[in-house]
Amino acid sequence: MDELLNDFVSETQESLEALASVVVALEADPTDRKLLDELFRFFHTVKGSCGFLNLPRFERLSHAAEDVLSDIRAGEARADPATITAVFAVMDRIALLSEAIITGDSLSDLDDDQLIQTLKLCHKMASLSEAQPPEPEAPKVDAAAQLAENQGKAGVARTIRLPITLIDQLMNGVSDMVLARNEVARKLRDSMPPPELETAFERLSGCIADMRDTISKTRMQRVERLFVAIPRMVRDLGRELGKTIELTLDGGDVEMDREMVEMVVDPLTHIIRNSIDHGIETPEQRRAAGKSEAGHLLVSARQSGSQIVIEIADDGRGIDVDAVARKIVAAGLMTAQEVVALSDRAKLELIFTPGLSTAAQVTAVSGRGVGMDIVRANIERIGGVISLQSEAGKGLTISLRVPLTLTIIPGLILNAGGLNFAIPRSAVIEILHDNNATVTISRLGGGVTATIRSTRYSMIDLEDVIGLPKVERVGPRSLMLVRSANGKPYILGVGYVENHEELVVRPAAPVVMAAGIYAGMTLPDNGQPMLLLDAGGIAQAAQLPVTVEAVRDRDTAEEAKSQSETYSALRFVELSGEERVIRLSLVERVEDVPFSAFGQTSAHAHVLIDGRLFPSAHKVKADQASGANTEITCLRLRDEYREICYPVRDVLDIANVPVHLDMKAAHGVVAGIALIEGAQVEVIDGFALFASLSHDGTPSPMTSRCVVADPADSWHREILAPLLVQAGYDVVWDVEALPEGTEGVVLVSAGRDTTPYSTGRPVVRLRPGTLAEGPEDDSIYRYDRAGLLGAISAACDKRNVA
Amino acid sequence: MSGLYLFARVAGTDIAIRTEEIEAVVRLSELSPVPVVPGHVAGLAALRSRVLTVIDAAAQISGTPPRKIEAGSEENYAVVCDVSGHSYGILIDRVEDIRSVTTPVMPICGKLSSAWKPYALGVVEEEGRPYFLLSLPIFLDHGLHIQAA
Repeated sequence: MDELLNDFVSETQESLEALASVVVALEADPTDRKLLDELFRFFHTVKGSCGFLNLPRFERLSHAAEDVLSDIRAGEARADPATITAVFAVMDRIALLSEAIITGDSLSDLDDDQLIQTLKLCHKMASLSEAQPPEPEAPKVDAAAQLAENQGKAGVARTIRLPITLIDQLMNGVSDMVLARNEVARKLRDSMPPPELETAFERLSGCIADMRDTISKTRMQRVERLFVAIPRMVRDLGRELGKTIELTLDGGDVEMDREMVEMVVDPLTHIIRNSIDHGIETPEQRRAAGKSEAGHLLVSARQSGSQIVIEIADDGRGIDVDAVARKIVAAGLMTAQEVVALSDRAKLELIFTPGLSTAAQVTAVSGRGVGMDIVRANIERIGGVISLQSEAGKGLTISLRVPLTLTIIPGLILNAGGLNFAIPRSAVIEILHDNNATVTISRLGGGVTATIRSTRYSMIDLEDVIGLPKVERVGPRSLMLVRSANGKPYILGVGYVENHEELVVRPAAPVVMAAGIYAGMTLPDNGQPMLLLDAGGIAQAAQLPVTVEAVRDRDTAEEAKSQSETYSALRFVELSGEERVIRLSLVERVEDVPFSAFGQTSAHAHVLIDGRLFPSAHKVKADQASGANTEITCLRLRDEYREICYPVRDVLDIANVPVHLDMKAAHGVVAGIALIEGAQVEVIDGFALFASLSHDGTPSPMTSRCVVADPADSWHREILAPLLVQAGYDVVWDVEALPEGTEGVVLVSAGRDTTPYSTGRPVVRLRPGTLAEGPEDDSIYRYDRAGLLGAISAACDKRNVA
Repeated sequence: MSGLYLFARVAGTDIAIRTEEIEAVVRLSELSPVPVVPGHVAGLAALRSRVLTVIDAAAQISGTPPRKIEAGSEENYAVVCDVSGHSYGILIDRVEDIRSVTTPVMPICGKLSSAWKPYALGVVEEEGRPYFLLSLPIFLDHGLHIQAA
């Protein structure tokens, strides 16, 4: 009886899995008789079997569903979404009950009644609405129908059920055979066998190899198994979020290792959820963006060499790279400058940054990034690679490349401290010798840094990690550039790399795994057990810095080409809220200044920093100081002589701004508008900014003397003299005090006798009236500030030339 | 409880292990060392196509440095067992016998040394000689905790 019950449960569970896509397809096309029949048959079978097995709850549930479906089949009701959902609920409950039979749990049967009531209600509504014209159909889910069809076909092939342990035993047996063969081969080589023996052995060897391949195939499973749950998940999520999604599944007949399928399920589910949740927009948003209302999601699988490529492509909004970059900066993981230095591709990869995922807001802002580091870690753990292609507004394609099988991976065998270790080939980016000319190794305070082609990496010697002495040997050591868990590569120094081998990997015992640097163990063809290293674990054990360093990767070289037409500019938010950029080279530094340091005169604002007064580009109001600390972020700008403080609300990041503005619109300190990644940003005109400031504190090119000829006159004393001092001139009151022959510009009121001063010194005459008395009058109106200073400076120049 | 027991000697103490827990007793010749693990993990050994994680029982129990195992040495007996999917070889001093015992397991009398306390489940008496009853899963599980500590 128990055996019957178990068979019933496993059969039911399997049918349920297969049926998920049928139901989704049915919802898309309620008239599809074939699908209806299939669903009906399921409930009918369940009902029949459970009557026999005495499972009344199964019977009631399946009976209710069967009733509804038979009405639909008879054309008395339509399969509207509500009914289908109710049927789903019944299926889910059957699945739960099956589970409960295995685990021996009990489930309240109150819910059963509710489900049945709901189902009946939905059914009644559907029957009533039958008279009305049918609503426009929900978008068709072709994939599900297709999948259902495929499954129908697959069912034709004859199959048997085998316990997995049996297959594993078989696999182990074959591995033993391979090892035994290798040993015999070694012995044969040593003993110079007769040719006929060698031929016979070759045949045996070939047979064993074939058998190993065949047995490996028993572990293979169609990727379809990965796909069956997708239509239902897409449908449920789509409904929940109010999005319409057209799903296409492709390549379900590709085969991969059963264990691999298990490992890929979670990352795949995660990616699809992300796509639907954050990638694909709501119908309204899509309409506004000029796209079809229904989002498209394509999940495809194909084999490429010894790898399976699974692609998840959506036509949603893509990844907002800048938002991700901003989050990275905000989280303090990188500085704005470092982020800007990254290539577009590297920026996209920032969504894999661990720690980014913990910020809940990222979903709201960037759309993606939740747990992508975990997805990547999971894929990399099985020797896979994940890559992204995102086009803002057009969609995102995520590709997972995973090996065909988990148990046999290509690996490198290396030697450190006299021991052999294996490392998955997929973890190694590059191998170099330490005497290579492109490599420089520097040691700083115990830390080792290796620079390869001007990229700096943390470096660690494997011997230091495993606590063994380095073995002296002739020849250079090998440096392996390996991927770590956080995606940041580092250099692992090893004695030497021995060879490359296909390795059968098995999990290591917990006591070994606890060391944290091993990924498993393997038995290579030489029969000596070996440990498989975990590149990420080693980085952690060695406590290599986790922060992402500004690695000028190769991609940036391409960007450098376009550098000549652009310049780096700091993007910031004005106190008044506009976003502007300023040439980065003008900014000496960014500093927070307390609000109390700001002051202003009637026309100009200034700020006190470290005991010196600097002109401020703006006046600052008390309410513009940020937060409780009442500090204001200031850009300290500098030309050759002067320093300006430019108070801003916030510094955003660094952008590349084209030298040629997209629109010239000079107004005040703004030179025009540049397009930065599609946004219009005002560009600060450095010239205008410095020019707009008062000349205070500007040292004149050379200090000249001015002789004020009328020290007794209060205008000269109180108004003219301060102006001259301000303008940077030395003022001398008494011409008598001037030694003979020294320079100086004499300032004198027009009409006064200049003879005492005319010992070769230039004279500037000032008149109180605005109008000159005649063409010969070279005097200057005494309140014509520009004219006056100009005349003095001209007089100085004349003097110098003479 | 009665049944078949393997009687052996570990760290100078007589022990008994239920045969259901044991797959085989093998003689190990060569071990691949495993760095960065606690001392009682003697290394890895190949047993046909399987890889055994070899635990030096004496080292785990009494904390003595693990035995050196060199190629060609004869006296390295290991009890092979499968615990939660992993294969282990547990090095013991020597194997005495496998015999059926009809008398029930007896509680431990007297004060145990702290080294043995976590492992001894009871006493099995055979021909008048007492043997500590060990359980391999418990033994291995405790080995993990030594590391954690």
